[in-house]
Amino acid sequence: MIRLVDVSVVYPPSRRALSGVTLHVAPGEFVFVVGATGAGKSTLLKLLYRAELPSAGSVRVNGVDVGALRRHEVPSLRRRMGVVFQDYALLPDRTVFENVAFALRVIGAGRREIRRKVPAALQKVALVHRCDAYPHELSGGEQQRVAIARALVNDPPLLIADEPTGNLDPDTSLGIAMILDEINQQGTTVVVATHDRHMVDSFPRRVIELDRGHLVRDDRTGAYAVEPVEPGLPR
Amino acid sequence: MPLSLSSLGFLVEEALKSIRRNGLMSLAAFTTVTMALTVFGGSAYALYRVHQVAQALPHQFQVSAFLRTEVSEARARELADAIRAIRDVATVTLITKDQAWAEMEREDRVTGGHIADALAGENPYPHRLDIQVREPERTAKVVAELRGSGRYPEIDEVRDARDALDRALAAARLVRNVGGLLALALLGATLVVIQNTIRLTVIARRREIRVMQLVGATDTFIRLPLLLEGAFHGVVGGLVAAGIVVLVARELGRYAATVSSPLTSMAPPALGALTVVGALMAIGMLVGCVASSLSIRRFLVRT
Repeated sequence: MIRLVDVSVVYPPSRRALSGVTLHVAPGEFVFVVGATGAGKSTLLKLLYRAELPSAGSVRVNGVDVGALRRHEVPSLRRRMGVVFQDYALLPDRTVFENVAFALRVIGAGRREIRRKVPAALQKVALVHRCDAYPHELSGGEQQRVAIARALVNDPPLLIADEPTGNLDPDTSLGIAMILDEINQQGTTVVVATHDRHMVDSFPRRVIELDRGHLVRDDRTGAYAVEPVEPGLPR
Repeated sequence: MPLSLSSLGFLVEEALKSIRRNGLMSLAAFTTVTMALTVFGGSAYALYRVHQVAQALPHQFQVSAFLRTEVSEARARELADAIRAIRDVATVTLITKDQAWAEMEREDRVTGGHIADALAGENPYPHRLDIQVREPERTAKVVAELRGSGRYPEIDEVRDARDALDRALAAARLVRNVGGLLALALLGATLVVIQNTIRLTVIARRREIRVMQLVGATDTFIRLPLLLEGAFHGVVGGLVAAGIVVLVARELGRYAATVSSPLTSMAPPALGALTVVGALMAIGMLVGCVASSLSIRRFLVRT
């Protein structure tokens, strides 16, 4: 699904955001990408949806060499993934239904398809009853669920979430994590960048840790952080 | 990728929504475009009319050859035939002394003059040949032939309107050059105004554009509603501007018709209102599209 080989990203003039990162994510996996602010989590995710280009190395998503894509080929890459952000990126003057439908309309979907797919996507995030509400009438958690529904409405095989619980309280964050987990159970590959320790520890999944642009840990059933071992105490 | 009907509907809907949402800005854009296009259209139309009249002017000039009073009408006819044979001469019309008298009497009646009375019925007019030259620029040559060649001793005097012709041609050139530059500058200003307005719209919609890009909308799809919006401002501005230009031109035309002068009487018929409306709407649409396209291109390249 995702294959990065020796990937580096350098921001001009010489700030290194990623250094020699190599990793492989198989279809159907659920991966947390953790690390402190500035560790390179968002840069790694941006490489996947081609908002950033690698300075060196290769990035392949769904078998496509993302770095070699030409500008007009980028939309077709993005139609095969859903992206969720910390700020939800909802359109404030459109209802929940319209926000989700927007993702279908801009890729040329017909009204019938929209009427079929939008309620199904809202069903997955349990928001069908709020379909006529505007974003400002929703709580933060509900807004993020709308964003997830929009990311899923096109049935993408890959869901990328960049700090999806960054603005939410711990309980709501867990709710979002559960929804992401359910989506993963249905076969979608999920990559979540986060520094939400509580969420990562509540859902033991593969954890990739970045530190100042380097991949320092790839733990198959990891926790947010490896606890330092105190001398004389069993781990 | 060809656009489906539902996509087209969506794009038009988005453009209209954006125009409504940015109501005040749209109004500002539309007003400015209207003003710019009115000034541009008005100048271009005035320029066109002046140019049209100036073009028609040279053809109105003719050379008149007055024959000596003792020349008979039969000889005058022979002379007319001889001059007609000169290469640059288009037509020669003989105005006999009787016709000239009748002409004078007619003018007398119109102007209320008393020349006929003063002359006490005695006709002092000689026969006259009115000569039309093929190209206005050849007038001097024909005049020289008639005056200086010695072949036409029966000609007493040759009169031409070369000075007036030269002035008219110079004026036409000036109007064309200065007016053309002015019209181009105004068109440029219109373009900048629309471009700025669309840029503001693009900035106001950057969140929407970001979402569109993330869910896989093509650049064309992102661009089209904004292009439509630019075209809309241009078309509506052009329509109103054309209305103003046509109304003003019509009023000026009415006024000119009441002032009898050789210039107004020789002016060719004006352009139809539909042509002006169509032209200004088309120019407005084109300028709107180009301006939008420039604003969006910069934005899309940056993101």
